[in-house]
Amino acid sequence: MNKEEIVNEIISYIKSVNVTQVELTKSTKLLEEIIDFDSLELAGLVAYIEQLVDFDPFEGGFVEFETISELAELFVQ
Amino acid sequence: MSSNKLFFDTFSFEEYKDELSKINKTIINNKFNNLVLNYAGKNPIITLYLITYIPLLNYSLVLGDSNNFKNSLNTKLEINYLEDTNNNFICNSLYLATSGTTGDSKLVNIDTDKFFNSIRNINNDSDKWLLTYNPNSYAGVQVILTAAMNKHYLYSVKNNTPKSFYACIKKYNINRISGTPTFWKLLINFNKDLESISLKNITLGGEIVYQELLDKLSSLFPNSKINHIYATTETGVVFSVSDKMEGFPYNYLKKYNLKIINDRLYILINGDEWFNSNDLCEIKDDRVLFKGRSSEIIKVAGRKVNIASVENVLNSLDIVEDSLVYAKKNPITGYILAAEIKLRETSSSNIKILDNYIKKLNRYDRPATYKIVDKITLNNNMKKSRKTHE
Repeated sequence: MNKEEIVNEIISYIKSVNVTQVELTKSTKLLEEIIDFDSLELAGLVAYIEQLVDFDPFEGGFVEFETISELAELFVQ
Repeated sequence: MSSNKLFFDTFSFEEYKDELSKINKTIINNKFNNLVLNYAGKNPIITLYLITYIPLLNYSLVLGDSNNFKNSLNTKLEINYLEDTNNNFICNSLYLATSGTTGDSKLVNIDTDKFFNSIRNINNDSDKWLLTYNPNSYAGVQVILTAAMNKHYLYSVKNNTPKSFYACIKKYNINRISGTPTFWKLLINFNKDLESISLKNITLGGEIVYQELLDKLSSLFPNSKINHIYATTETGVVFSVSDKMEGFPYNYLKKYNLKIINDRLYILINGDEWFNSNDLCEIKDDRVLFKGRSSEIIKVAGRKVNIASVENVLNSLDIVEDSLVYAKKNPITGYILAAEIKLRETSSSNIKILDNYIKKLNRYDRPATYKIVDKITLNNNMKKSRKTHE
């Protein structure tokens, strides 16, 4: 999957678990700008994308990310 | 012991005569001071052969494939002859690997006198057993010895699938089966004409037995005696229940020297030592119900979650045949819940129903990710494998 496809997957996942009024774009900050989207939901999102692309970017330890775009970038192989 | 009555669908003494002879020569001519013989294969004939040797020779027998054992001694073969230079093992002793349902397996020194004495005297020549367990597990060795010491027939299959088990049961008119609840569920779900089978004795053990399965077995086999055995590799058989109700009677706590502390079941061993089984219990009316393993409790975002209970919630949905919930490592919360789910019928409408159902679960009890699978991952003892997934 390319970065744009992963961004789209992230956005549809967030919409499926969170009724958000915020317009989601690739620059949306995950834990700051989406109301009620907390660490548990973020954990679910990471696991979902990991399963989708069959790749774990956190294997060697935590890598910082803030926005949807930054998270998507991590999953691009 | 009458060996000619032990019959193995795909194994025979003749076939393994050379192999057994080779083992025999190696044991007798071994040059080690402290021989540790490890057998991790799946042939019940070799297990039986080795176990009957214990009182005769001065060596330790380790049955099973323990991760800890393999790592420390770097063994990879099915049968290994090793020198115990550090004297870690006691001579003339039997060690069995625990099933490792929720983590790595470990070796337990078995009291062989107690173990052999626990084998029931059944006194019925015509009985026929099916071996559903790994022959090197506690339950497997127990079934092999029960059949052998009662001069019964014992059948096993090389390919542990529900279909091959069923074919073996039909072909040889097997009337005694001991297996895990997962084994029984698979047998029921994959074979539709079980009513044609006549079982004298059904035994369940190794996992929690829920009322739904007991009711199903009772209706399929109304004339069978159904026993639920509670045992651990460390303590052996503790008690069995045959009233076809889940859990066990409250008065068993006193009868079998048990107590519940902080929801965990403790077993009195060696007269004065309380062994923590790590099995979680709840008292409801006059019954003690099993609620999972304490090691099945994980912390998800700081909150304790019992993964066995989540499995039960998933399985209560009509379209779900079975599920396996496990802890999966996650960079954000440490662990999250993940699941393998087998549907009774895999269709897009059922997947949608399941997805909606999961989304409505309490957010902490909700698997963050799940896979629809054709079969649930089992360990080689037909128990669900809940090891933490990396």
